[in-house]
Amino acid sequence: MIDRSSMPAIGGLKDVLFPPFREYTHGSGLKSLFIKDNRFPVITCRLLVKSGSYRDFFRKGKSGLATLTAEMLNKGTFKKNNDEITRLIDFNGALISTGAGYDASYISFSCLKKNFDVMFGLVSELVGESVFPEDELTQKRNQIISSLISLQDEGAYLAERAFYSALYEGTPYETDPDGTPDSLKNIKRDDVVEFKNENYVPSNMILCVVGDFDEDKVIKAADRNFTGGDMKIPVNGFEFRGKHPGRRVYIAEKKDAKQASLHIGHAGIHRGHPDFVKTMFLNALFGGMFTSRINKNLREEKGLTYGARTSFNCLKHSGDFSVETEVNGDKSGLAVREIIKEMNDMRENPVSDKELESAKSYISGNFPLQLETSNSVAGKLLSLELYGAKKDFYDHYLSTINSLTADDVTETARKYFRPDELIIAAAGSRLDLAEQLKEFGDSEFIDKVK
Amino acid sequence: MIEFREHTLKNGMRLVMSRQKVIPNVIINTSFRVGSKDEEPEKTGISHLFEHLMFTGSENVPQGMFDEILNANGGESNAFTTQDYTSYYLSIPSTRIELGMWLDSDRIASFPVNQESLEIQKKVVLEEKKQVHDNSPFGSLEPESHKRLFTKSGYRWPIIGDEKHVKNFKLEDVKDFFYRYYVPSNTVLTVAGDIDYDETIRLAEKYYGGIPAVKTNGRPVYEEVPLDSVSEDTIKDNIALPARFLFYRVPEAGSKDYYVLKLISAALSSGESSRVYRSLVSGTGTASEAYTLVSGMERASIFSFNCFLSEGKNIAEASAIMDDILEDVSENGLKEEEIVKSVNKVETSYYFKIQTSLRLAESLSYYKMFFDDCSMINKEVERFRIFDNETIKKSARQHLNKGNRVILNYVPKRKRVGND
Repeated sequence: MIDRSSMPAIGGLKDVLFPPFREYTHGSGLKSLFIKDNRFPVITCRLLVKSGSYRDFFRKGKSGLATLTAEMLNKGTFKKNNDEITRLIDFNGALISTGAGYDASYISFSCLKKNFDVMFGLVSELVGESVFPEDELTQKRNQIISSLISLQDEGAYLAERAFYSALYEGTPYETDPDGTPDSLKNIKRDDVVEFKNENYVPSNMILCVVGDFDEDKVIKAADRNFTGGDMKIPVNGFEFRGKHPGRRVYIAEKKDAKQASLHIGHAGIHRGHPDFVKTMFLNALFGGMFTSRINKNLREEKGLTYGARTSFNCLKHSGDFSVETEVNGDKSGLAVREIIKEMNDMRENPVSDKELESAKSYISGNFPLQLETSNSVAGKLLSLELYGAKKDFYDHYLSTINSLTADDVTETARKYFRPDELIIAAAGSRLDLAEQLKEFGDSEFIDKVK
Repeated sequence: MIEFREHTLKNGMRLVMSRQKVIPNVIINTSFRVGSKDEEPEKTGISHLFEHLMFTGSENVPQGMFDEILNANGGESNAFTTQDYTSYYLSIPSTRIELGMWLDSDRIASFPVNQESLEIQKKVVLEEKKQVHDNSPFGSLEPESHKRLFTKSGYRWPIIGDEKHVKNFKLEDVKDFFYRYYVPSNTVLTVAGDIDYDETIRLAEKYYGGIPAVKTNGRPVYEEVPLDSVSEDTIKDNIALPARFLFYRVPEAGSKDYYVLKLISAALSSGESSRVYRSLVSGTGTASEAYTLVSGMERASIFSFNCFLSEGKNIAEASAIMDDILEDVSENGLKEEEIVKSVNKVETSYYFKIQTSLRLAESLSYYKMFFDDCSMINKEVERFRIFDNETIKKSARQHLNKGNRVILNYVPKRKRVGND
């Protein structure tokens, strides 16, 4: 038998380099990003439109327009109807997806190398020549409405929506990017056509191709397929309040709830903020890893939950920090108290060297997993381009993380954790939650999901 | 082609290795051939509870330190439990593979659980049960379908087990379970990533090879009776819109019929040109979502047809369309175009699956454990290319038979009040 009593010696970490990529700006203003990966005979192509549900806000009462537009792209073009389009996609074994988030819309596909030319041609046609048939629009709208209604069966969704609509009230990030059943009903075909024409223009798009392909051939095809049209409307910035004085409690009713879904937090920072990496590191220590303070406390020490996680959600114009967890209803007060306690502890006391080094090592050692598939690399590159970050961000990422000190962490926590301004959103049994959470402030019941 | 090598350790534990040099990390996957179907009817949920307990510390890893040590060395871990097996992985920088093996093997070398962690993890599991089943829309689908599809075997209860059983587990129960199933002969170890084959064998022998090879009682005999009738039940749930689910008990994972049915399922419902999507979602607007799937298990599989209704639609409309689709396959099989496009989709998805060492390691462990054949990883696409339409019709007639299935209609518990 071997002696297991002492830990084996460990080696240092090998250097990890962000994979090489090529940037190309087309005459039309379209930006392309290429990553070659010849390991497998497959190609992924992502086309990002730098307009998401953020823009819906400026067409009052029509949230969900960006999503509906993206989801309608494959419903018909001047040359092909929906049946012909979907058969072509499926016959080529391609996996396609469309949709929109707050800051961008997308259409992407993955396929075998041999089918790439056909698929690239088709997707170009969908973007350039969609006709948005009226009957297909009605059907798609109803489908999204039904999905949204069903989502409201889920406590976590109700809590999340209560949190975001309170935090971003009166701003473009207030509603679900997919809209609401009511807002979707307000959207007409003309709105979709207009949104598409205004936003799906080359200078507002990013093309990212990953896999086993010929770059020059793709550049030529993109030059042929994506032409004309400049972005006519400027991106509207927005005044975010950012700070909310005092704690506020929002409760959404979930019938027969067996647990309380909690979504707790406050305003954070936008993606371009210079403290972005610092907040990521703070989050790792606080609630981004399995052994972070929040999960350790609520799950591993107290057994209150199956899991608890925290995140800084950094968008183009604003951002937020939040804690999400599901706990037994009669433990929701205790859970919130513990979360506040942990936030204060992070603000008041320096993290130990051991904790600091552990988080650095976790991020450094684990980072390569995010570079394992070319798709994941593509996601990172697209995000840098969308949010206007420097392209060499990941060349310095680990060295920046490793240079942070315990003082940096405390300072970041003092700046970005504001336990006295928490928005505490909860879904579950309404009366029980009001009782459990009354110590944190008056509660407001949420009847309508936004 | 995925390259792999195999080796049997001196205590009989099987080692599979696959060298992938994309990133400087390794995946250590340890899989044990025990799942919820192997449990005693009065002690359900122990396989899954035990999965939680494996992360709480062991003889040389202080309580609560397993993930602490792993995270502090750039690693992470997770696990899952199925009806048939329990699979653990840890990911760690390749220069620290020895530390990973030390952590992982220590919890197998001797019983790793103490009273305190047992009590905490019981609570965590009960919260998991609430989150996944009790408080989740359609969360009762697994327990409700399994108890109707299976009447004698351990497939009849949910993986997470009965709440009372979970609450009552004693240290002795989990100890018996550990010594019966967490033994070398019941284990497959797969290491994938930035490895050297010879060094991996040396380290595996060092850390895992010395774990005593004990003879155990094995698992309970699998017994099940044929399902030869229709059951249709209505379940009231906290949902806004109804749904209809059809379940067929079909042959076990790896059998010829299993692959034929997987092909049928792929043809019927992958992509927006598929029959299921066209007739239920885009064409008629009956459903917001509808699809078929085959869940493979060791002794039987389940072919499901799930249909989530749109606002204002009723179950009768969906029911007729769903039956028509399956009857047509029994009668006429699939069109050539449907077969070709399904195989093409399988092929595309396959190349994305094998791009991560984690998914690769999990698949290799699975193929080794249940089929003793790791080369199956390289045949995942080819095996679908061989079926002709007669075989497809025959399989559909035999296994997707209207007279032999479980139907569950989920309906809203209460009328929806205008909270759109």
